[in-house]
Amino acid sequence: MIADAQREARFTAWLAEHRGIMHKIARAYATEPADQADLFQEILLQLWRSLSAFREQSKPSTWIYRVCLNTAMTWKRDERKRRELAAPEWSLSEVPTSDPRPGWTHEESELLGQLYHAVRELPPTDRSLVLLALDGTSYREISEITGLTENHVGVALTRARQKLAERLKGVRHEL
Amino acid sequence: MNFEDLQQTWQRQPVPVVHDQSALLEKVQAGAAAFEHTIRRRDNREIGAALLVSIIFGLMVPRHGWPYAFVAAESLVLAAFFLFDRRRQRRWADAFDETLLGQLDRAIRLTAHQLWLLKNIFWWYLLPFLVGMLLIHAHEIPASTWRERFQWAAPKMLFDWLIVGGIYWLNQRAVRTKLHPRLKELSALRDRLRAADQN
Repeated sequence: MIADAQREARFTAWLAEHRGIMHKIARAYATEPADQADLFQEILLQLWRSLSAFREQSKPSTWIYRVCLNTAMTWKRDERKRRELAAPEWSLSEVPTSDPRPGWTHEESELLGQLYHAVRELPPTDRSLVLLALDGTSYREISEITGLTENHVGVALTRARQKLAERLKGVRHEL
Repeated sequence: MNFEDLQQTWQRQPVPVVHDQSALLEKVQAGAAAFEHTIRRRDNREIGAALLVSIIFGLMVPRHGWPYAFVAAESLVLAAFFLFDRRRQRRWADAFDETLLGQLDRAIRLTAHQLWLLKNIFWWYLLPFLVGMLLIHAHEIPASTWRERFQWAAPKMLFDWLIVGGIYWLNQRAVRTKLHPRLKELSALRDRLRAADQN
């Protein structure tokens, strides 16, 4: 078990460094902004609760992906209202807004919106593989995150990418 | 456009800014505390109710006889079972840092266990209650004609069965509308991921 101060320091550092993972997964697994905020909140909560079990046997990003994806895969949309009623003090009203990146264009923004839309249409397991691939995660890490054997990550990923390509037919030429 | 272009756009996407990290940390800690509190409150409520029943029925033993002691003991056993089972379920649930396959296995095991408990609620929860009530009624039944005995016992038994029936119906509805679909959904997710691994 790690001390509270160390746990807080680690959580804050990870939030600064890896919050992109949390936001991307929340956005990919929930459609409505209120649901995205709820899932983001649930992810933060599970990260905090699981943090004492982090044994430094894997990279922080690998561990964070696991917690985030596990939370997203088992997250139930209909629990939001019940939770808000049970603990109204724990409610982020919305996902924090982002400052645009330098050089980030309107076209990229549109493409990203279409990409999220296509990703959300994939079955949840394929979605997790595609998200990891889009983030440039190695097969070995994907294997550590999903529990699939490394040999089969490639096969599963190719199939998931094909499904993504079908959904992005109007957007891309070669995937 | 190829996958690498999509990757580039994906990785370049603006990441929301957290302006006040310590405030967010405080919120997360408060949320975790609220979560633990909700769970503790639920456990305490269920165990407290069972203990209260046990005390009430226990106090009635000297005046009304041994069948009340049976119900009191039954409630104590149930309280212990609730406590033990909740702790076990929590141990199964708290492993969000497992692999996806591992976590899905855990979630399936937990849901299957909850489903089994609710499906069989008659045998482990309602039947002992009914037996206890039956013993109480049998103990208190007036010594008179069969007709009068029937008239005395029938409304009481009907009331017991209505309560039991209502609780049973509520639980079976939860099985049908929540747990079965959830188990199906989780199993489909796991099978899909496993199939990817085995093909």
